[in-house]
Amino acid sequence: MSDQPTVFVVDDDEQARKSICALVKSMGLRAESFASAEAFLARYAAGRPGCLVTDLRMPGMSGLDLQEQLIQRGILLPVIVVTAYARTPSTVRAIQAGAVTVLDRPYAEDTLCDAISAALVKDTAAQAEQDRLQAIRSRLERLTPAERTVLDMIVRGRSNKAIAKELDISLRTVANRRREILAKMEADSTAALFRLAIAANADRS
Amino acid sequence: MDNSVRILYLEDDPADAELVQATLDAAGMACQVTRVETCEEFRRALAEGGYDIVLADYTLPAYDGMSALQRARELSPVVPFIFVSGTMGENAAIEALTGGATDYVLKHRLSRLAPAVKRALREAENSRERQRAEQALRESEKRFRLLYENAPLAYQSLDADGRFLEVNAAWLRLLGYLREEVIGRSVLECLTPPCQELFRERFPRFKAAGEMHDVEFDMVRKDGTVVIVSVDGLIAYDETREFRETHCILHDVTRRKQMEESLREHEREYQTVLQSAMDGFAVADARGRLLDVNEAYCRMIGYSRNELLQMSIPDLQAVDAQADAARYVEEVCRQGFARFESRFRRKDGRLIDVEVSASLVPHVAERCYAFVRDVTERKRSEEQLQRLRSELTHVSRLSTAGEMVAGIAHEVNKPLYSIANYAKACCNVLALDEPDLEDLREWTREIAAAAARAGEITRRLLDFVRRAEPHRISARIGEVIEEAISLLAAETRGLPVVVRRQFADAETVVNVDRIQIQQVLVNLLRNACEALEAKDAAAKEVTIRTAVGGDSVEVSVADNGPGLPDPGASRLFEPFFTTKPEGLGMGLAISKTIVEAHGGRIWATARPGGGATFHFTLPKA
Repeated sequence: MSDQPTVFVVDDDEQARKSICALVKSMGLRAESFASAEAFLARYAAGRPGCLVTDLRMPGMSGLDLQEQLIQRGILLPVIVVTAYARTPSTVRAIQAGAVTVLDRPYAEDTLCDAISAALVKDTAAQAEQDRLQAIRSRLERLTPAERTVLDMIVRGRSNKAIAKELDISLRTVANRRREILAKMEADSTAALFRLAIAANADRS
Repeated sequence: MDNSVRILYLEDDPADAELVQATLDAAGMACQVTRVETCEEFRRALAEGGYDIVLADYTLPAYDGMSALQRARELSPVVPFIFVSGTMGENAAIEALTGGATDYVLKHRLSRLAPAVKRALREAENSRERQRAEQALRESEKRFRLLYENAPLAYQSLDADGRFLEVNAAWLRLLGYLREEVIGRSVLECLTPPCQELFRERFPRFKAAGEMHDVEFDMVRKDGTVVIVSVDGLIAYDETREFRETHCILHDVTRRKQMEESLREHEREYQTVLQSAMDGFAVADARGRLLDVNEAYCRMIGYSRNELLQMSIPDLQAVDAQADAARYVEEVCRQGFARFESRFRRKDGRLIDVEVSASLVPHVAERCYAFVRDVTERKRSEEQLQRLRSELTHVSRLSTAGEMVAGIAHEVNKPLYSIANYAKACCNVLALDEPDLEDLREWTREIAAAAARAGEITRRLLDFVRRAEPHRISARIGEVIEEAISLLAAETRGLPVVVRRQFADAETVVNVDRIQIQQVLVNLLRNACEALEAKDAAAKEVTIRTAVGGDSVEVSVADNGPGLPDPGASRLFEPFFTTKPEGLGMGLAISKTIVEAHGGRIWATARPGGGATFHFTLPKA
């Protein structure tokens, strides 16, 4: 797996495919091209960074069908759908389904370049967020079960005294565990701990 | 030939003969006396005949009077025989008269001779007369008997109690009996029970009236089947005006009655069918006068049956349908059958469309049956359907055009899309400090190739358009016009107006693309028809004229509609110019292109008296 983002190009028209690959290359990016949505799905490894540029109308699976498949498989790759037939219903459907951009051909000179750049930025950001959440989750996993119980109560806003009383432990034990939790979670304040815990929960839900 | 009385006289004394001759002469009777003396002579004379009367002496030397009388009776029974004798006793006279003598005259009282001869001759004449009459009677009776026996009509004679006195052969054949089975039996035995009642009631009246006509009886044949007879009868009376017998003729009317019954049955069925039919039905004579109509017809037209029977079909026809109606009547008369559509005006003034199926009644002179169906609703929905269909065609033509344009755009856009991508890629690379020339070379080649593909697509499009160039052949202008009229008629399911033709020369040959020129004609005709839409059918007028002048033919289509638009007349032939709410504004523009491609000209003029005329010219071949 390479960390460098890749632009995946799906178009049944060879000439169009090659021209998009040329454009991607001119942007200093890597391109991989596929003649059909099915071919792309067969070869794409989940988690590879980058974005997808697909034609809307293709024999077999359409660009929109492909986007749906990606969502079902939990692949968050940003999708750019290019269409020569700007049809409102299909556009709406694409946007509702979360595609980054729907481009009507013909488009202004920079449109596709800009869309690719934006998609990659989004993907990178998403990737970074994924990485951060992954880090938080691995820190949470370092806590002992007793520390997790105290963390949950802290997040619910209980004071040390209340926690001690509820868990029937000494106030000093609570204070020690809180210190230990802050250290393991690499949080410098209770407020920071709150944010980490909420992010981890939101991601899990 | 003399009229004298020829007398054969048996007498031995010639003097007596002369005396008789003289006596008769004296009485003014011309006579010719032949005297014979002997038995032999007498017999020969009788055998020869030719005598009107025989006179004979009672006492003769060679013969006796009574033998002579006997012989004369044998040989000439009709010739009167008178004894002329000197002496004749009472007994002899009686014997003579009973023996057949006509009379006797004593010689000493010869004055009685002439009256006696006259009377005898008269009686003989009367007797002959009577015999002739009796003979004639016998013969006529014989003939009558034959006639009566062999007559095809059944005859029966009944006595006062209704018993058979006589029946003839036809009667026996009719009822299946033998003569001996019925004579003396009561006629009641040959009647059905209801008719026995009828007979008991009618027979006394018959006897009182003396005659009876056309009285029907149901008679039972020997085999039990019933025959219906119509009886004509007379009563024969004797000299004292007492009833003697009946003479009755029986007509077998069984078949006639059955046919009448079956006719009545048919008539009832016919009435039932017609009166309950959903379709209107009418019987009319050759002048269209209604003779019979059914319920449905009355309902359809809104008049009562009695009103209709005072009317003629033309009274019911809508004004615009009358001309056509005459044509259909002619068609029915010519081929015995016609099916057509027409239009009636109801009593309430509403117009209804009808479908008529009419036929001449076979074997009945100038009588026509017509089934009439109200198709107003159907016509209306057909018209609506037609309108929808033409709207649909219009829309689909537009959407087809739209799709074709979209298809062309897509085809051309594909290489343009590639070109745009490559061009942008080139720009991107050229912006670098050290552009990759290899990429640039490859991408510019791709741009060139894509541009070539776009060019190829447009070239193919042009080829496609070029294939629609006119394909010209020689054609007679009249035929081209007629085809265009039928095309329009097919498209509109029958022309909404009558198109009049005024062809200067239908045979003129032009060199044209038939389909294209027909398209022009259909456009002009359709415009004319649409211009007349608001007018009454009878007032609609479309005329196609051809005029030949110089080296071209001019065709014109004239209507009496609202005329050319004002303003806008000068823009008629411009594309997308239209005065119709749903028009495309292409018809006249296309027509202009076609006509000009043929080397002709197209223009419009106002028609004198209202309306518009469109003209175009085509060069003669």
